[in-house]
Order: sequence, then structure tokens, then C-alpha cells
Amino acid sequence: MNKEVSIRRQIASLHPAHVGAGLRILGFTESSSEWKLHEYNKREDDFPSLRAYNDYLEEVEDIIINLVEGVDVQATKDKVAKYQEENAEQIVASRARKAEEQAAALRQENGFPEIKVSNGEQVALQAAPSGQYAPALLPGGLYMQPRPAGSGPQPVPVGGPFNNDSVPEDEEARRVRIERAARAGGWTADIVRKRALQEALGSLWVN
Amino acid sequence: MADFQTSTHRQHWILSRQDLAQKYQIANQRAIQMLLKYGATRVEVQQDGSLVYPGTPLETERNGTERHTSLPEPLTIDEEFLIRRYYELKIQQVCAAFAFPNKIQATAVLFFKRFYLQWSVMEHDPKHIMLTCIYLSCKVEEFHVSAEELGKGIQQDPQVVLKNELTVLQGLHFDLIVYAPYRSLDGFLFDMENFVQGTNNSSTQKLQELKEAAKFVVDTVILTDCPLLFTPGQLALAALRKANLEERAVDFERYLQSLCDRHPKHTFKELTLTFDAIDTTVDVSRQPKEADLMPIDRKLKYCRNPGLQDESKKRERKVKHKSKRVSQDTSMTTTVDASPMV
Repeated sequence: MNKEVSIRRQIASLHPAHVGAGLRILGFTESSSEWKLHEYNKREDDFPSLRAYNDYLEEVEDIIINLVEGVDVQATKDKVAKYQEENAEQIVASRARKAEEQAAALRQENGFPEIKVSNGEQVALQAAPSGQYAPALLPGGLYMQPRPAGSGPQPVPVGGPFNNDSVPEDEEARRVRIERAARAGGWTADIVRKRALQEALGSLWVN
Repeated sequence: MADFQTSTHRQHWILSRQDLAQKYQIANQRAIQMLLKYGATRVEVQQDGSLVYPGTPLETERNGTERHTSLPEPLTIDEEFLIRRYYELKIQQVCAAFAFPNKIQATAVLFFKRFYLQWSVMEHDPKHIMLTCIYLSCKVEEFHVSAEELGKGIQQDPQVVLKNELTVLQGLHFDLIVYAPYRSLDGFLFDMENFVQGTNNSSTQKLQELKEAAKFVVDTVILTDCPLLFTPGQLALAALRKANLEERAVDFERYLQSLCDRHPKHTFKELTLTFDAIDTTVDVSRQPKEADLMPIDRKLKYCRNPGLQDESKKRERKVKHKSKRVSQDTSMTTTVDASPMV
């Protein structure tokens, strides 16, 4: 069962419509590139008709079954590779589109808490071409938003938006965070002193 | 917050020297009695925690003189003390190897000491009790490690730990909160900061060094009988005094005087006497060497398992009767006195 889940995940970035919200929100891993099944990411609106979309879905299910059961693995892999070549451009574009959507969803959730932009950068942001999203211009540019504008090589989005270490956290920030958390729970440094003193002076004598 | 004045540590576990000596004597005598009566001292711990004492009384009539001569020799109180001291040091080393917080080794050592006030070393295997004490101490000090993890870390069977857990708890009379001198040490250092405030700027640095040195002294003090005789506050101040002799971070006499002025319950003289007593106890007790421990450990093994002694005697006889091969001799001795600790 685990194998199937992982294969499905890899074919993911897939049919968001098909496999359901769960896997989509889970995100996807691009780590095992050897499978390269995460190119099967067409969507319903990519297809001229419902029938064509269903055929496409069935094709993908066949592939999954073959890989899980270990039937015709080589032939299946060849099929996948061929598909990848034919649809390279389209795959990248739809991946980009998906990344954008996820970024938008995440930002809505967080309400832009951690994006600190200095004044200078803000000016630059406003001056940016309207098509670009603000986060793309942050130093470190984690959310690169490629636009399928015309032909030409398209940059692939780097580092999924669910990557939690989006703000590089150094030792200092971590310590500050921990201390703030402790203080939120009612702790003060004074408590440590008081307790130590109380124990010290209280335990000097038995009688 | 935990209050020493109302704690069981203060009520039950600070004894006088006579009490201490008496308890050791009682435990030792009991074990010797068992040895004479049954030929072995090991107290088995069942899976459900109940204890099984060596059952069959010695049949002196039947087996006659052979049985008598093969009675293993019991340990004396001093030897028991050395074994305990060795295992307490081992506790500290194991805890350091696991990188546990400091308080865990202090609690574990205290548990170990308290347990062996009730029982003799011959009755319960110190190695098993040592592991159980570490396990319990982790639980009590809110740093839980599972028995498996402990077992994996030191290649011991975790079942041993779990089996002995209840026995150890009962031996401690379920008094599990232990006051180690470390927090008192910190308290006194905070107090000293206020005292030293105006004098010079490098004081904080010196106080830090004093703290480190004092912690080291406390580690040594914990290994002696002192935690059972003196309160943690007294131990902490004594350690500070000793560390200060080297570091010279603060004028200890003046500090002590000011302390006594502020808390008129304690007099300067009494405190100084206490510290002197602690110092002498620490200086007198020494860490046993491995070589000294080997014969004691062998004796211990025979007490717990008289069968071993018979086996080794049989092997000795066999070797002597066969051709005299020196290599076999040395190999035999190494199997017999297996080291006390893995």
C-alpha cells in the first residue's frame, strides 16, 4: 500500500481533480526523479472534451497499476519517458501554474506575516511589471513566478511553497523565538533566580 | 514549587553518621545470615515485581563437610562500600555518555545510595540496580527515555530494568523527589552576585569560573556518603568554599558572615564546622581502583551464585590434574573474574 501511495504521489502534481484534495495539499516530492511520473499533471480544462479527459485519466491509472504490480515495468517506463518528451513544455507550464496557486493559498492563510520588506524594496516592488507577484522580488527570491509568456525556456519554480524554512532561521532568531514562547507561558528569568535562592537558603539547615 | 523544608528528602533521608553505619550493618548482617542459611544471597526479582529469596536451607548433614568449605565468603561493609562507589561513578559516566542533563546523574546516584541503605549489595545485583536507577531518574526528572533506548545505548537487556523497577521504588519507599546541590549552588551564586556587586568588573567572569569549578566539586561530593548526611544547601556552600580556595573569586569568609547576619538562624561557627566535616569526608574517601575491585567483584559473584564457585573449583582441579598448560590457566582466570561492568 505504501508503494502505491508513493507512486501516486510521484505521478502527482497530477490530476488534482482526480486524486483528490488530500494528496494535493500534502504536496509532492520531486526527490525521486527517477520515476519522472510527475509530469502527468494535465487538468480537466486542458482537454477538449470530458471523454478525452477520462481517457487520459484511465491511461494514468493503467500506468500506476503496472508500476505497483510490477507488470511490464520497462514498457510502462518507456511510455512515461515518451510522454515526457512530447509534453515537456506543457508540463512545466502547468507546474508553474500549480505553484502559483499554492503560493496564493498559503499567503491567504498566513496573511503575509513574515514578509518584511524594507522601504527601498517596496518601491522597487511597486515599480515592477504588473504581471509579477510581490514575493518574487524578495531577496532570495523563493517564489519565482515563471510566466508562460511566449516561447523560450521557462524557469521551473524552485522550492515548493510549503517549504517551512522559507525564512532562513539562524541561531539568534531561534533563541528569540524560544524565549518569546516561554514568556508567553508566563515564565520570567526572575523565576529561576527566586527558585534557586529559595532552595539554597531554605536547605541550609535541617532543624 | 518544590520546598525543601517540607520534603521527604529532609524528613527521611538526611541521617546521622550512626544511623548510616547502623543501616549498612543491618543490611550486611542480613545478607550474611542468608548466606549461612541458604548458601546464596541473591534475591530474585520476578516479572511481577515480587521477590524470591534463596529458598532451600543448606543441608549440612547430608553433604557434610564439602558443603561447608564451598560456602562463598561474604563481603565486608568496606568492600560493599567500594563496590557501591564504583557503580556510582559508573552511573555518572553512563549519564555523561548519554549526554543527559546534570541533575539526572545526581538523582540516579542518590537513588542508588538510598536503595543500598535498605538492601545489601549481595542481595541485589548492583549493575541491574544501577540501570534501573538511571531509568527511574530519567522519569522523575522529566527526561523520559524508554527502557529500550537505554538498553540499546549500553547494550544491556531492557527487561532487566523493567523487572527491577518496582523493587527499586519500594526500596526508596517511593520518595522520589531528590534535591541535588546544583540548584542551591546557583542560588548561592546569585546571592553572591548581589554581594560582590560594587567591587570589580571582572567579577561576573570570575563567578562563572567559580560556578564551573564548584559544579565539578559537587560531582565528587555526590559520590561520597555526604548527600545522605548533609542538606543540599550545606553541600553547595561547602563546594563553593572549596572551589573558591582555588579560584579566589570572592572573599568567602565575608560572604558567609553577611549570610549569617541576614539569616540569624545560622551561626557562622556552625556552618564552618559543617563545611569542615564535609571536606574531611570527601578527602578521606577515595575512588577504588579497578585492580582492587576485581577480587571483591569475584566474591560478590560467588555470593550471589555459589554454583559459579563450585564450577570454577572443578575447573581448577581439572586443569591441575591434566598436563600443566600455562595458557589454559590464564584463560581460565579471565573467564572467572569477568569485569564488573560491560
